[in-house]
This record gives sequence, structure tokens and C-alpha cells, in this order.
Amino acid sequence: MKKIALVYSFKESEWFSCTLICRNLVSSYENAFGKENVYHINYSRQRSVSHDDLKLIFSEKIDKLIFIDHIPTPVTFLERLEEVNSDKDSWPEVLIHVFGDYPLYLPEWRSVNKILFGYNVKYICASERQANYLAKYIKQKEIISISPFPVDSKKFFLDKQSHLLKEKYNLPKSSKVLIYTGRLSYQKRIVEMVEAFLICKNDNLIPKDTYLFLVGEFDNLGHPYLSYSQLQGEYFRNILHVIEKYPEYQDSIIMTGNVDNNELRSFYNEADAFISFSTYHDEDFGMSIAEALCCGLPVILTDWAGYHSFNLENIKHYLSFIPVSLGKEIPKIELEDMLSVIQGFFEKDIKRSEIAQAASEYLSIENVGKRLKNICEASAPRYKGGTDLMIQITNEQYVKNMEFFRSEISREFNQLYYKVYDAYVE
Amino acid sequence: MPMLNKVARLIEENNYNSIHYKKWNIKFRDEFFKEVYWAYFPITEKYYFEGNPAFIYEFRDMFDMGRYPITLIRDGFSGVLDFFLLHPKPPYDFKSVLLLHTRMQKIVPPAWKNNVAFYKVQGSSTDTPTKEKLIVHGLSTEEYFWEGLSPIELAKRLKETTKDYRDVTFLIPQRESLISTWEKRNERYDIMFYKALYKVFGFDVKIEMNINEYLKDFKAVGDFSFYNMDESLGLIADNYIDHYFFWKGGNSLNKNHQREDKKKSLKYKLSPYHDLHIFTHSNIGEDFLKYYLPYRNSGKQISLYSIYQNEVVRKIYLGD
Repeated sequence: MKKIALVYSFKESEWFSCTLICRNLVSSYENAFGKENVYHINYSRQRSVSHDDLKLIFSEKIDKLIFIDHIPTPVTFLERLEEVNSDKDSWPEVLIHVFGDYPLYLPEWRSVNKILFGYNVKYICASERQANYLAKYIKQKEIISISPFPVDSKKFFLDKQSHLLKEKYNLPKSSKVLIYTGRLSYQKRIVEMVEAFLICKNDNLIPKDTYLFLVGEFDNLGHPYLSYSQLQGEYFRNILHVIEKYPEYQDSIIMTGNVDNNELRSFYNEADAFISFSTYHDEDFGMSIAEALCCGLPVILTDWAGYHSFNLENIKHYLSFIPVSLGKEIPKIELEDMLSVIQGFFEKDIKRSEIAQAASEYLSIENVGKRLKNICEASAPRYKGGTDLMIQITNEQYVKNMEFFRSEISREFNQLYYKVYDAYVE
Repeated sequence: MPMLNKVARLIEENNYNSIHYKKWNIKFRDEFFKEVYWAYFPITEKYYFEGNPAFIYEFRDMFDMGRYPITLIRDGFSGVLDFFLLHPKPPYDFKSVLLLHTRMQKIVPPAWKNNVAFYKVQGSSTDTPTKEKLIVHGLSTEEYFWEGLSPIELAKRLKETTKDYRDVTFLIPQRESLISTWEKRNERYDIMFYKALYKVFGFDVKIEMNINEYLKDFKAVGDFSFYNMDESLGLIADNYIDHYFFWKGGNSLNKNHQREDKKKSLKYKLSPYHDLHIFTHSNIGEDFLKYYLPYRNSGKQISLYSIYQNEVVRKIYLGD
């Protein structure tokens, strides 16, 4: 059996979903390769790695070096590794899981390209569109594989006995529940989602006793590419102003804050659909959606970036997608489409067990482990580095920091944005 | 009521151009304010409300302040008193409304009656929180001992406040006071206070000093409570950390946040868990002259620093 080393920060990420992804990836690899063949190397958020761990890669004859965390990028680790052993022909093959935040650190990725040029490298993306997106930056599309981030199906599964949500919030048993979980953030389009939901209620497009649950905390991220930041509390007030327009239905929007995983499973099992209109700039996957699907919950999503990959063949008739196109300041989603998709969902006859089964086959720790093992075992061509477009965008980033996709003259996207982000809508 | 109607209208009509923290072209930064802002950060961190929360020193002058239809003044007692001693009556063309913390009602000069209303931040939950987790936050600078308690006395009082809680964390970053005298600074209140905490709570007491990291990593699941050590509101009345913990769903143990249902008040939700209440007081300015006359007669230059250090001022405010 091959020996692999997983490189990640032992300290949790400030992004909860990334912590979860990392933990589940560890389980998938351990499942596929056997615990005894998996080595764990701490590459801290402050970019430190122990010299002994680096030496261990060679003394233990590790076959695959796999980076599974979102930050830091592998650059400092690889530089230290070069100091320990400059004969790169003796290095193990390098596999890198790419997350949505890839473009934020392009100068570092360019250095990674330089170090790994001519050696065996594979990139793994969690969705098809993220792979297409990465292909804008990497010369060889054939070294980019796709494997979804795994879900712990012992924690998220179909459970017909769940009753916590409706009891806790005193909802009638017959009521319908749409649920969103995740950060409540400008690019997640909560304002648009709440408004569409309230219009649906107001216009009798959906049952009167339908509730919309918003589970998660607010953030102030705004849109960093366009240097649009928000203040603490601002997005909440934006949502509140929409709710106030429909006083008759304001009780049908329920904000719960964070809930723990056990409670979340119960929420997913009792809800009627997961809903998200996100057009977030690095929506490479959608961990909460993956978990919801494993509980048999149908989804209403924007057809944006990683969300597209959830349209699984066997269950696509249960899932609803809203078309998205690129826009000047934010991707475009039409109100008409939102309303018709929400309304259309309630006309579907849903078989939750089919959804849970299909999702589990695609996303469980075991099955993702098998897929990752296949990726590891496939041969890798020599790495040819990044594209000219990557060089062009990185140069912009050197000058403009986070605003490298912003036009010089207005708070709108520049041409570089359209060149790469078309991968998120095609 | 006309004042509350006016406030309601101003808040409703307010847009980004009338909110100081949302304006992109603010060039003025008072040096003293910059120092205070960073010394007390993140207590002074910005947040959003259409009532335009800001500190007095963020405005260049009265004219600058007058450009904003409404401003929620985040300063505590010393900043507000400093402002009113310098401006015992509003300029004749000053039409703006200032929202002051309700504890400031006694120091508002009567001439400002038509330009002020009062606010209070309250939790919106009526549920009784479980006595599980409690976060005590504050600084260990001289201001926190303004009420006259010694570090050991304050630690003992905190022992009483926290006694029923199973999991107590003290979030006490080490900062230098900007309004302490150098003698007081040399007394090192921070070290005395940490020692007092260890003495009163034992060596297992949880003290977090890196507040930025703590808040960044803070995950709120389940209910928790928090307590702001600064009950006097001597320097800052509207503390970002209180808002932060409210935003995370926490319950405040402070008297300043206690629920109080006034019949005639405006209520604005700042988060799913806390509200801002705005109301008027009929008997404003009871104490203003007590401060104003001695200051005028003393011939001393008025400053935030001198107000803060003045023993008479302290006694009047705290009602000793």
C-alpha cells in the first residue's frame, strides 16, 4: 500500500466549512489508504512546519504529498522542503486540493508553479465548474481532477423521526419550511431570496403556512473584489428593510443564528427544501448543500459555480436551479426566475430517500475516499505551470491587491473578471 | 412625541450619504481621536445603524456635525460633558438631532432640549438564559476603577456577579490608558488587576488577552451571557464588544442593558437578538449647572482629560 502524507493546519480555520472539509478529507484518505499509511503534517496558519516532519517525508518514503487545507498555500512548505532536499526528483508526487479562495493568493500560486515546474503534480477541485475555473490559470486541464468534498454520513442522514425544528419554533406540523444555512452575507443574496420568498407568499404562489429559516451568522464581507465592504449589522438591517415591506408575513422569516450539527441534521430532515441564491465569488462547492442532500432534502439553488455539480443525474427532477449570468457589479439573477422556481418546487412530488441515497453515493466519506484513491493512482504528466492569463491577473493583483477584478474607472468588474468567471456560469 | 416623530422620520429617510461611517470621502481624522480609537479598539469599532452612530471627535466641528441630520453619540459621560461644556447651547442654525445614551440625561444643557433624544441598547429575548457560559469583558486601565474600587474590590465584585456560572472567561486585553496621569499609569492597574483576578478566582481562572483573536474565533452555539465591566460609562457609552456579543446571541448582565419597556419609545432591531430603544426625557439637564459653573469659574481649560481627572466631576456623576 502506498504511503501518503496529508498536509494541513492542525488549528481550526476561521471558516467553519473549511474546518469540516479538512476533517472529512482526512477521514476519506484514511478510509482509502488505511490509517497506518497516512501521515499527518501540521502546516500552521502562520506557515510554520517542523523540520522533523519535512525529513520524515523522505525517511518514511512517502509516495504522495497531499495538501488538503485552504490556507496557507503550499508555497512556504515547498520552499522549506527544498531546503531539506533540493533533489526534486526524489520528491513524492504532489496533490493539491484547490478551494474557492485560489484567486486571492495568485502571487503565491505563481511561486508554487515555479517550484513544481516539471514535476508530478495534480490538482483536485470539488466541482466541475471550479475545475474549469482553475483551468484558466493552469496550462494542463488534464492534471485537474474532480472530487466533491466528503460528507460525514454518520452525522447527516435521512431520519424520519426528526421533530425538533417545528417543536422548537412552535410551527404547525403541516407547515412547510424552506431552509438556508451558511453565512448571511451580501454575495449570498439573502436580501433577494427573502424578497422573492415574501413576494411568493404575498401573491399566493406558495402555501400560506410556509416559513423561511435563515440559519447562520451575519458577516461584513460585502464584495472585496469591488472594495465594497459592509459594517457590522448592515446586512441585517438591509434584510430587515425588505421584511418590513411585508408586515403581514414578517413572522414567516425565522433567523436562528448558529446551530450545532445534531440540531442541523434535525432541521434538514424536517425542512421541505434547502434554498440558496448565492453568487459568492468563491462558491467552489457548497458544504451545507451537500449535507442537506445527504438528509434527503431537495434543493433550490442558483446555477452558479460549484452548485451546478449538485445536479446529480438520478435525482435532477427533484432539484431546482435558477439561471445566473455575469453582471457588471454582481452576477444577475432575475426575479421572475426566482419566483417561478420557488413556485415550481411546491408542485413536485419528492422522494427523499432517493435523494439521500444518490447524495450519499456521491458524497460519503467512503465513496469520496475511493475516488481520491483513483486520482492518486492515476499517472500525472510533468507540470507545465500557469497560463498567460494567470500572469496577467497576478500582475494586476500585485498592484491592486484585492481589487484586481475591478475596473479602473468605476465600481464594476473589469475584463479580466469576465475572462475567468465565465467558468462559473457556463 | 414631536421629537420622537422627528427622530423616526430622520432614521427612515437616512441613506448612506447621511451616515458618517459609510461616507467614502471623510478626510478629517482628529489625532486625539485616532489615538483613542486604536487604544480602545475594538471597543470603538464601527457598526451600522441608520441613526448614524459616531463619536463626537470624529466630526471636525459643529458645522461638520450639523451636516448629518441625526447622530447617535457613542461617547460616555466625559466626552458628552466635554462637548456640552464647550457648547452649552446649540448654534442657532444647528438643526440636527443627537441621540445620547439615557444615562447622559442629567448633563444635557436645557438649551439643547429640542435637539436631543436618548437611547438604550437592550437584548430582545425574554427567555431566562441558562447560567452556563459567561464572558466578562473590559480593560484593566484606570478608567475601570473610576468608580473608586480597588483592583481587588473589583475582582471580588466580579466574583459575586459570576458566582452562578459554570464556565467564566475574562476577556481583558492589556492596554494603556490615554487619560490616566503618568503617576497612575506607573501604578500598573493592569498587573494589579490580573493579580487580583488570580487571587480571587484561583489560578485556573480563564483570562484571554488577545481580544482580536478571541473575537475572530468566537463561535456562538447555544446560549451564553456577557458582562461589560464598565458600568459607569465614563468614557464610552456604546461599546462595540457589547454589540458583538449581542449579535452572536448573547445575553447581557449589565444594568445598562436591562429591559425597560417605556410606553412612548421607538424600537429598532440591530440584530435578531438586540434592539435600540429611543425615547425622550422631560427632566433633562438637572446636573448640568453643577458642572458648568465651577468650570467656568475655575478659569481652567476644558478638556476630556481634565474632566476625567476632576474629583468633583466624578463624585457628581457617580452620585457619591
